[in-house]
Amino acid sequence: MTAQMQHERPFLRDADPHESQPEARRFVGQTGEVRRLVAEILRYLVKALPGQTVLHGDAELVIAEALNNIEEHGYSAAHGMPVQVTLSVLEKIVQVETRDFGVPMPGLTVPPIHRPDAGVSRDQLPEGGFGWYLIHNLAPNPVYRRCGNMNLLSFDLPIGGTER
Amino acid sequence: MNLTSRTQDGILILTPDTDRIDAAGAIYLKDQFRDETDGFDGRVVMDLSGVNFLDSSGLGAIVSALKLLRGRKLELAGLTPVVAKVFRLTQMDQVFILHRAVSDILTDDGANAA
Repeated sequence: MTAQMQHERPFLRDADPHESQPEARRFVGQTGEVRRLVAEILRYLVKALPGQTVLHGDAELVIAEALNNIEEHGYSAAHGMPVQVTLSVLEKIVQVETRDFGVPMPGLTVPPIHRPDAGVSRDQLPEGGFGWYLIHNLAPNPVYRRCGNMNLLSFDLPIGGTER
Repeated sequence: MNLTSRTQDGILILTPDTDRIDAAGAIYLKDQFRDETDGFDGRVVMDLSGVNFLDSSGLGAIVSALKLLRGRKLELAGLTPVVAKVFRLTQMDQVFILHRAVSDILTDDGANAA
């Protein structure tokens, strides 16, 4: 059994609503290799939607932020833990869903929008908390669900990208 | 990742040797920056023209680098579109001096942000 098959296996126990969508493409990986997984997803997206450079940039950032959150918080920075990303390229959006078996999101909901404050003194400037703000900005209304021992985060990226 | 450094007309120019400043590399940036700027009290410019991906961890590391300068400004040059967007969305573009390119740093003392 290959390493990849082992990591796919936990996700296959659950019915996958994306299975019925022919456009859906599933990527399976593990924590500690976020960079590789994001690169693989981006290669697919560049091929599926050539020329959509703003979307490519947004997708790379938001998916990396989501996977980093899973690694850092869901799995407490442990490496080798399974993560799955499913992309569905639709007419006007790319639907993205991440799945993992880490600890539940606090409050069982996505963190509220917290705008970083640039108007504070230098010592008070934030060094963190940017990740969710970027996700909220580039993929409005992300949805979190806890299903058994699995976390599901889904969000839409507008094709054409966001510019604000 | 490493920061390579050179001095031009008394300005310290630091260049990351990577095209990505992400969660995996950000932790090294602050330490490298501290080593390179320790004891230097002139202008410090970070050349980001070769960086085409910066995530929230990378941004946090650059903010922490600014704090290491204790009151002096940190200047950033050559932000690529994707990197510039991260600074703009988080409003962190307001706390750095931005230059279009390293070649602008001598004619632009920072009064004109890119």
